[in-house]
Amino acid sequence: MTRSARILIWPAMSLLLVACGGREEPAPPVEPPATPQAIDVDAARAAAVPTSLTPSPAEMQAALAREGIAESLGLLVRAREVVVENPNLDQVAVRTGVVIADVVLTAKEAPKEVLLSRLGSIKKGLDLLGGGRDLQATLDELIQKIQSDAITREGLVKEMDELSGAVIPEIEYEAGPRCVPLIQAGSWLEGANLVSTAVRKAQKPEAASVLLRQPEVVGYFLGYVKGEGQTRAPDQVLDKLETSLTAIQGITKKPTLTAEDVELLYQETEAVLKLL
Amino acid sequence: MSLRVLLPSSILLAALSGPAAAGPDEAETCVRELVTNAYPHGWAVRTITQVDLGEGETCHYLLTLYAGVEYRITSCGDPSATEVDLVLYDADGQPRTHDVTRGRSGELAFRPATTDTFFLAVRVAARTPASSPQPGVSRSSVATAVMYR
Repeated sequence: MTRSARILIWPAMSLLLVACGGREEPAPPVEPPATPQAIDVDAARAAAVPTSLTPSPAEMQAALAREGIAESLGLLVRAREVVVENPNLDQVAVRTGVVIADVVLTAKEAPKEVLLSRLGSIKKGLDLLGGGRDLQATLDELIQKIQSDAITREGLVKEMDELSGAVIPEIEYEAGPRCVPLIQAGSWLEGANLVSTAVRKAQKPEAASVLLRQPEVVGYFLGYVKGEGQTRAPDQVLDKLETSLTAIQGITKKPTLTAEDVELLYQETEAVLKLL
Repeated sequence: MSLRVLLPSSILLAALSGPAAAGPDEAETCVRELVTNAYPHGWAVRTITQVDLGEGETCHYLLTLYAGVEYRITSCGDPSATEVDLVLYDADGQPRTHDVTRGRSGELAFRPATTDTFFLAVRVAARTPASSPQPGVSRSSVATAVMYR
């Protein structure tokens, strides 16, 4: 399986839309799809692509609303500056992921200068990780659009959605393959912290079983935080992240989460975020 | 099977490099069009990914889906793919839903009763090598979007 960066040209793509309309050769007859049979889960898991495993922060917000919790996660995002620069690139990835979640969740209502500052941090973080010039150009363009009020907040939400869900996870980073999972881990950690805050505030612990029971996601992150079989250098933030994710994984494996579980999950995520 | 990278529309405007192969472009353009059209109806996108598959090959994606949230999963193959199938399996490997569309696009909708891990199988069931944008290429590009609302 290989990954490689690829650049597309919009005008060329608009021409290619014609082909989507069906200017193709007649297809040979195909048997109707048979009723699918069960699959071997272990084999599927071993070969499965985890790119789409993790819910986005915006999706967490949607799930929260479905559970009848009206709290805006964006309004719970703290006014703090997460410094993305760090000698440890794993930390840069986690920190950048946290800021990405903050931008996604606050894109609709945050003051312009706050958005610009956070986007500047994301740009810096992704640059340190070696995300490439195209990604920097995209962020520059987005920043410029916000500066000149050339984009609506709804448009910004869509751009950030696409950037965080379709672009950042798919770029090859000079810092290596651990980058994407650790960026996603940072975003998930921030999202889970805000969701647990909202659940606590709403006093609806029963919603936690729907919103936070994601052992597969936590296990995926944990594998990368531990170093995927390699010995990772001791690091205060990553060591704490590892112990917190281990504790969170234990919680999220339970069939039903209690108020105490929500409290513990909040405390564990909070402890990591405070170090950033 | 090989995965490919997707870039946002804004990058496309900034990019100065030459165009990529037509096949992957067409798959991606098709799926992006579907995503763009879905936004006004309240849909948002979790991920857009792309994979190259030979005839009969399947790519499995791991997904965590929230209970009660509506999901729509859409795939588009390039013109060399004549039949793209999607199947969603639960964590036990049992099929929960599959697309019934014919042709190089596939779509399924699902609203889980419980938050859980699922497997999405994307399969190129049939392809027409003669229509491949690159003669001799034995794989078709398939772009897949996971949307929610």
